[in-house]
Amino acid sequence: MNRERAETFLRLLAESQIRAPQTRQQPGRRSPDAPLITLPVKVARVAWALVAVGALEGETAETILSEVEMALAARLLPEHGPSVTDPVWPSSPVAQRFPLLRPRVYRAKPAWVPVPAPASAVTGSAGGPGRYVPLGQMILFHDQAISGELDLMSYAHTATGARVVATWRARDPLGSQRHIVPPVDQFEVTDDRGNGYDLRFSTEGRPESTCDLTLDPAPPGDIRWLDITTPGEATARVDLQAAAPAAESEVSPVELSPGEHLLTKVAEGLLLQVPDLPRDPHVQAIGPGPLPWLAAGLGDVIAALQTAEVLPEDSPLPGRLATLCASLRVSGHGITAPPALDLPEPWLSLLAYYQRRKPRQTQARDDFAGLVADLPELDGFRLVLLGLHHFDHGGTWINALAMGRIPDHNGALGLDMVFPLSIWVHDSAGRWHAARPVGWYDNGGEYLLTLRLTPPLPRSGTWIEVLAAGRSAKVRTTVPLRWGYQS
Amino acid sequence: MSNGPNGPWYACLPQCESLVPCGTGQHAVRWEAGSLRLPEHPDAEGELVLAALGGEKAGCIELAEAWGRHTGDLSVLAIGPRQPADEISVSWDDVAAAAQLSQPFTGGTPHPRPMRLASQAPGLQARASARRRQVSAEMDQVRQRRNDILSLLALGYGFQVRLIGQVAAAHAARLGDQAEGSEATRPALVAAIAGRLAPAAEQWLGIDPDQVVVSLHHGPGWGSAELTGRGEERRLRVSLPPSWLAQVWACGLTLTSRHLVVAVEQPGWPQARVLALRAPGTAPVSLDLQATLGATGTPPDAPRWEVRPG
Repeated sequence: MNRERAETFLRLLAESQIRAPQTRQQPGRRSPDAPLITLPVKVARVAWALVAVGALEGETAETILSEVEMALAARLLPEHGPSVTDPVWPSSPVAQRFPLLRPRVYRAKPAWVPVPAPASAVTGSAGGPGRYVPLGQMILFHDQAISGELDLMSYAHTATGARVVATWRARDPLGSQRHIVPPVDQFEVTDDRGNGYDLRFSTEGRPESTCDLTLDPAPPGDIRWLDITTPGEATARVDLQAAAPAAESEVSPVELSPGEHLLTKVAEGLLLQVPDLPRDPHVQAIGPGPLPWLAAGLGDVIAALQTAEVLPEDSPLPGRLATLCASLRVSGHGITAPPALDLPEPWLSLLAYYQRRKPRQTQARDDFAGLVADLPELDGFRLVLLGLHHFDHGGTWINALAMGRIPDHNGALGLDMVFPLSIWVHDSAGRWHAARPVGWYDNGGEYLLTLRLTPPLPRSGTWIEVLAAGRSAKVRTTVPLRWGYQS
Repeated sequence: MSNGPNGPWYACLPQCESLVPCGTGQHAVRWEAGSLRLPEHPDAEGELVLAALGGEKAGCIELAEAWGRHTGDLSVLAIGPRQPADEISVSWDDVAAAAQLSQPFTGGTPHPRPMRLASQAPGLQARASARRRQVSAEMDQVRQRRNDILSLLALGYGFQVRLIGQVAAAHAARLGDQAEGSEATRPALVAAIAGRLAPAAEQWLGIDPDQVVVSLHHGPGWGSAELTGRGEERRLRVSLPPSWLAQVWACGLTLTSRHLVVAVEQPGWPQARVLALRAPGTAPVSLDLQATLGATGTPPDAPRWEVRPG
């Protein structure tokens, strides 16, 4: 890694952009509150990329970007901006020409959370923190005001406590209303020793109608079952001795350079943006839409990574990205590498799904599955999958627990680099599904994490294969699914 | 500030003056022989002591402090002008308006997340509070830095290039002395030279500025310049010492009589002898130059150098 060359590249790119006439041409009409200066996307993209791979200090990147903004603002002549008679001319021009730029994402330091020793987190093990049990059990409740069901996906007992991960649906007498919170304060919960527990209800880090029910007080680590009595229903026993079937994990090394890892994440970012786009492919192709915006400056990013010596000259990633952009009909990326034909199988699977032009078609009705997979640590990060559920209008979600390094910032320009792993799910029909983190919550050293699958998972499968890849290694784990609604 | 074998870097620059809002009126500030001077405030240090005791600080004094804070600031190279035609439009009205925008930053939302805390644990609240204090302190620094830079830009082109010269000379000297950490300034110096040489090269050779490749020259001699490739692969590769920025560019010597000046042999104002290239790949020639001020189409403090007759 050559940090001096990396910084020099960014600074020279900034010089080129400051010099470019189009950079100094500000749009004529804008919101009165909008800043008059926006960073050239190439500069911002390259800065972000170099910081992401560790070739540039975040503070240095911030300094350079703030210099660029100041340099552009200082050159914004009144005659180049809106007319003073134009009603959109800002009432406070200084504030908008020279906004106070608070430190950006670039400076944020990673929040280091110690990863528990693997020995303390054996899947399905009894006797203490690190106990994970798949459930796949439905519990009904109803009284005069509300009726519904609680779908228990998994039980997890870790250093921060014991919880049941669940989805729920409820309705009042007037009709179906999903968002009514289940009356867990009326639930009676006891364990096999007669100890009673309250349930603390929390939706932090979880998608709609999904919750964590934390047992209060924390139970012993080796309880065998929980009896749950809900209003209007008989007691249901939740068996915690059903250890998760041993997952077949295969860990193999990978040797991705930091630049290749980054470009892989960029490619996945592009692939995952497609479902959010208008269905009409012609609309997608007309810029400036999200995909062209995401792809802007990729050629410069690749050149910067190569200059910084974090992307080998013979890496296949630039060519694969060129092919991906062509497949998605994205232009303006600036990638000069010839397109490569050897796209990874998951990318091809997702592209084939999109090319069927039914990306928004829901493949499954509401359902949930008990699922536990405690993945080996990758790049200082450990992930425990704790259940899967469908919503007919919202796709497929995987609820998880994460331990390790999660930087305290979002990725820049729509590309999420916070989540350090690539997660793909392979279903029993042979299709691949990308898992995108969509929410997380710091639960005192553990993160309650939710992944959304694109495309949604079909319900027919009895197992999934999870492929998690970091920079140094990847793991493939086959996990049985215990569907809640037995058909 | 180091002096080269041919004298200080600013030996080819005359003094310049600008009017600065101070109190209810305007005062002249002057740059002369490498220093900023306040003719209307002969006891500037005494005024600073009074200001520290609660007295009002004069505008000239604040400006001198801002100048002092940025004589080693590489950002000055990145923000300041690249050539006389590179017009920077910051007025004292802008500076005053910026100074009045003193609303403190209140923290705000760091960034949107799909799902938020309903209630935070005490530890998280303490961390959030510490983070807010840190952000507030950073914002104070950002605010002062912005106001400083605006003030220095409002002084006009003459002061801007002289400050750039001072910053560049300081860092060139540190690089020459191999001072600890000085190598970290190399990217900024390369970019600063490239940003100023490229438009000059366009005038000199008609080459696309993006085709100019700059590197830092160390050791004896002035460096090198060569033209390579054709079409889109055409490159002007120039290697210059870091001191070029102060000794040549800041003194307005870059392009003179269709020659690219690469070094100063005998500095002086308004006459100097320089080493200049007629074309890339040729040996440099000595030129005796004569300077004038106030040429049409250039800022009033930008010198215009021409080959001395005879």
